[in-house]
Amino acid sequence: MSDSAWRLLAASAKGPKKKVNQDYHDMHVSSDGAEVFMAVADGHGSAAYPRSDIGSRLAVEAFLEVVTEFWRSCNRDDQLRHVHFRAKEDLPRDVVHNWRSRVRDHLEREPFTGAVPVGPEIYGTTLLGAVVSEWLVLGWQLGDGELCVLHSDGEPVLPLYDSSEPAGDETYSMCSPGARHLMRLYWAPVQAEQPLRLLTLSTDGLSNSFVSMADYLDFVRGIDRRLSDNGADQVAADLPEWLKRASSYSGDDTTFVGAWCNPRLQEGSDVRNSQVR
Amino acid sequence: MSGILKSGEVLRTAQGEDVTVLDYLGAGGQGEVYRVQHGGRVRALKWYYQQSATPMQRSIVEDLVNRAFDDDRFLWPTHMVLGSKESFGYLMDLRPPHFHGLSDLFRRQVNVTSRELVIACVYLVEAYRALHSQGIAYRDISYGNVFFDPATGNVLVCDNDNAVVEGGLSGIEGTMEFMAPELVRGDDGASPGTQTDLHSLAVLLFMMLMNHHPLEGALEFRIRCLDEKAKRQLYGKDPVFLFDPADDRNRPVPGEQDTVRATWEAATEPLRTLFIQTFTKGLTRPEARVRETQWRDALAAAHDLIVHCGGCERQNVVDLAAPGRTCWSCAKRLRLPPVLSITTSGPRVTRTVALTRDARVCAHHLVGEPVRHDYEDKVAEVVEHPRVPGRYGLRNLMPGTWKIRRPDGTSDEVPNGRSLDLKPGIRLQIGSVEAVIQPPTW
Amino acid sequence: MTAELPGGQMAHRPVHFFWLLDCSSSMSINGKIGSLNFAVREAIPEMQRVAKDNASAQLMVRAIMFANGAQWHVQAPTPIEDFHWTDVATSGITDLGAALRLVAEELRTPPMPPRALKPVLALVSDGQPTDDWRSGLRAVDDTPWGRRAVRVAVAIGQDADIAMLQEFLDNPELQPLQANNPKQLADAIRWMSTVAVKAASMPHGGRDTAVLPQPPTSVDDDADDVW
Repeated sequence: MSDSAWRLLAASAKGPKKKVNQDYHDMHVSSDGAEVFMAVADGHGSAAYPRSDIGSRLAVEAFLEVVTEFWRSCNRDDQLRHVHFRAKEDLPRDVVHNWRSRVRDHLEREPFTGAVPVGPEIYGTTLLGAVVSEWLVLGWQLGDGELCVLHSDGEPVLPLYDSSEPAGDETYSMCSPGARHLMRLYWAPVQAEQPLRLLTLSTDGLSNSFVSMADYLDFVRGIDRRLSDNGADQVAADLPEWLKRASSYSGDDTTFVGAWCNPRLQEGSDVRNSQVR
Repeated sequence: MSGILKSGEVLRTAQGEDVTVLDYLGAGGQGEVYRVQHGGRVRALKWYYQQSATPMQRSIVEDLVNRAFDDDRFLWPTHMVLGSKESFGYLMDLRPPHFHGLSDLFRRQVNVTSRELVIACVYLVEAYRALHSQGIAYRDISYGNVFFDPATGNVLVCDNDNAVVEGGLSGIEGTMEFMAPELVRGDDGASPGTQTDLHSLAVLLFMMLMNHHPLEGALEFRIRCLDEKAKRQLYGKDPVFLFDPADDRNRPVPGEQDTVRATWEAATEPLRTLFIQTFTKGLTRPEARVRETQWRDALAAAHDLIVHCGGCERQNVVDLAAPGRTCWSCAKRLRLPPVLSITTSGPRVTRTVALTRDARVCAHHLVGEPVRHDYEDKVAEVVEHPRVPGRYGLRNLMPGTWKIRRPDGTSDEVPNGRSLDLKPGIRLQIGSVEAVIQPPTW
Repeated sequence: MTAELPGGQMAHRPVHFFWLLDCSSSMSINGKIGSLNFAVREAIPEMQRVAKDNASAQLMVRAIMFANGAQWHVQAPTPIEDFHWTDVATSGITDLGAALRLVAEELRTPPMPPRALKPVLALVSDGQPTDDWRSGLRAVDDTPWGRRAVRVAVAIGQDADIAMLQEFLDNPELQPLQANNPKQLADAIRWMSTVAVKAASMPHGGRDTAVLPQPPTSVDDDADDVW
């Protein structure tokens, strides 16, 4: 992994007064160091979703299994529109299908007896996932949470931000009817003049701790600056405490993962050409 | 949002006209779309990513621009726009904001009545027929590139920059869900064209009307991991229609796929027959696939038989041949209103319109073989009497006068703006067309 | 030592709570208005306790009274810890529609912030509305936050318009609370103000609207059970 240009950040904090952390996350760099696969999920948590902590884990597992298979079948030489079709239409459907199978298996292994009707709903969760590579960056979002990208211009943007999403802590869910159609796609073939520097995924426990989205974007901008100034190890060490602080404001579980392209290792980047050489 | 192009940047069309970039609208599979100013009009510019700006794509777009396919149902490329080095794009009209993607329908974010949904289906098959009649295959029919207006049912087909002349470029296209089985299998000699478009169109219609994929039943439900191999099996090697009368392996799973059972039950017999044909025989024999005109006729007939449930007011499509239908929503028994039977001349076609309280008779009802259906081009509509609630009549919206003949032999005239009581037995002469009001058949 | 947290300003998200109180002259009969003032006073410490338990939410309270028209009783959103109750008095008719229109104005974004928790609408009435209350309800439903508001309602006495309250609640699984005596009223007000706040301040309700637990059924040990 040391020869990868990508450095990974990940941490999660349980909301104050919550029994379990219903968020889940996982990420890894491919064996050749070229790509990063990452996902976070936020189990709904309220009484109607008693197994949402498991639901969020199953969502992350389902996503990473499906996206790995998806990526194996993608070639840089494929026509972009074919890759786009599959990313937009096949992957959401496959992830939802895979998650529902996992939920059924889990229910069979551990039958549920409780006050709420038994079905996939009790596992309700959101999902955010991404693949970062040198030629294509992809992200998927179902429900709330933030996917943020930052390019060489240093400006963080929220490409999947949708002001029409339900507000007031309602969210779309993996268990919603027609869930696959609720998944939004971030599609960004990498253009030579705009290399990606940082991609982050976070659950809404983080953004909800800020007064406004602008304050949240300041957070990502700050992370990017600290990564450049202090290095990834220092940021990784500080992150858990920051998230704990955030969760004390939002009252919610708070999870943040990020893939940062170390400019010193990024092949062909302007930085390498102008500074290292 | 950062994009490839910047606001204020000026590009040129192939003819040398200025195109000024206003702002970024969104990203598509092959490029980004911008709002631009061109010759005093605000239009849309699709600009290809470096990876997609290939000589082949350029020749496809040049060909499409040269075809000058002027049809308001398609956002067709009208001008090539050239940038530095190899970069290029094309101009098209902007998509008006009241058009929604079909995925908004599937995620239940727009409300649409059965009437507008069926109208959208009629318009959609007519749009593809217009394209196919020019020998152009769309190749990527799926819900991603169809937009519709929930208020009127009007449709707009987008992403037309991959349509090709029949027999042109080949190669496996699209997503397997919408692909004809022979393309999914990669049969020798199979290539995308109008005949494979017909399969994709049928899948799309089924999804719009039934809210489910026609091949995703028990066989799909049992698969844990829908990998490439499983999908080839499901959509290519062994596709089985949910309601194949001769093969029940792929029926909807009770408790998991109940919606599609209900929507299938609520469809008319002629539509069910067409779906069965195209998803049984048509899966293996492309020439057996249902053609656009067949869809159009069955859909238009279904539209004309929409009635309101007396219990919950919901729209239902009734089947004149199947008495005793109940409402799909509240299960109350439906009651038929009187119907208007219209017979055209040359060719002689009889159509039946249920005279429910928002029924309309349109110009296309009066023509045996209409070029296009237009449900806003009304010649008559059912209206309530202005002073007697509950009394309905058929109002003449045509410039001319209708001649009517009552069962007792007396005759009369209904000028423009006046209405006729819905009394069975009354015969009307609407233009050159004969019509008669008939009592409910059940 | 952890470096300072990057990013802009952090804050707890607000839960805006609106009392909608019937102050028509019928409320003066049998001391109902006095019982109502008492019940609200009793509820405040409970609300403060619930707010403290949900430290991540900031509970902001306002009150509207309606009689001949509607007017603010407490207009500024007041943090519950600083909230003091001044008694309401009665006069005139039951213009609920005016109250709903007044609150609808506050449920737009802005003045509501885009990042809030669900607001709470707590309606107390003893009679039949005298104005076009349905158009007022539509005005509430036409705002994004009004649609999502957690709604609770108390019917005081037998003359209250239960069907209207049910329509206001807009949830077949929820009944207006019936209060036929001061004790029941105090219980109902305490229940509605605390449970609704809990429901609204819980992070993550999923797709569904918050599920309120069942209201209390207080034992009728009071001799004076008819007002």
